[in-house]
Amino acid sequence: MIKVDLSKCVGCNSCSNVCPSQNITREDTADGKRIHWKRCKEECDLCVEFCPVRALMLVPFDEGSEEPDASFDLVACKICAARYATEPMLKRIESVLPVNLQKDSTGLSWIWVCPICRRNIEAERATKQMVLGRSRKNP
Amino acid sequence: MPVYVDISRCIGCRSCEVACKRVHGGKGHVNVHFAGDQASVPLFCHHCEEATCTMACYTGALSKDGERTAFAVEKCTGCGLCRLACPFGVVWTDKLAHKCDLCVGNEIPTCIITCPANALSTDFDLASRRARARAAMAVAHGGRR
Repeated sequence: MIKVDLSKCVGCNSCSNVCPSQNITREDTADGKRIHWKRCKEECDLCVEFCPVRALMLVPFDEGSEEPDASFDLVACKICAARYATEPMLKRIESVLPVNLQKDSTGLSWIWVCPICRRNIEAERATKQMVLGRSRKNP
Repeated sequence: MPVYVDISRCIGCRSCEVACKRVHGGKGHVNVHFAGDQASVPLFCHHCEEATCTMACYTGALSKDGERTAFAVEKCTGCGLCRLACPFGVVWTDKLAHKCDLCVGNEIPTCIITCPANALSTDFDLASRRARARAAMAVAHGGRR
């Protein structure tokens, strides 16, 4: 059976993805995410092994124990306000990346911007450069 | 040997997107963006030198392999950290992660072969040669500001 340290869980998709018997379920809503661990009798410890933050532990089966649940609000993108990730996941990325890589050339903390806006920013940057080159060519 | 884009040549036909999807079993890693009505920009993995996705990946599924940022799908748990760790938003996750693999195994990535406008290449110098050629042309035709 799985014991969850809810203070460590970052709300990623790892355990629910690797579980071969669908004992860990995930519910995605528009602004939140919920992970539910069923009481399981399996001897398997794939979820424990693959948890990025070691929040899971294998403990002996106990019929009376409660099934743990983790609920997360999703963080809103700083630019478009779309909800795109759990806060602990973004914090984890902040903690593993060198500080100098966490801001782009304009000083934007891109970790707190959703991937769609990141692509838009990149497309606009490339376009500006190209238009600049063209206007130089055709004065 | 990442793929370089000369967006002044891109015509926004999305052939690269289709070609990428075709060779990767329906999951494309190229996304053509339209910046207003000014330009179309194919976006895909830059194969960064300091690849932040590889730093966020804890299973070793993403790693640097020379210039390439390699992805080993059998090690991926689909956690989604790499998607959030990519500054350009070009690592995708649906169940498992997927991103440009430079068509590993092929001599030339399929998007490059497909692009009808010759906007894509693996040659970094080509883009700068073209820029110099355009500058020279401008000088020949009356200079530039």
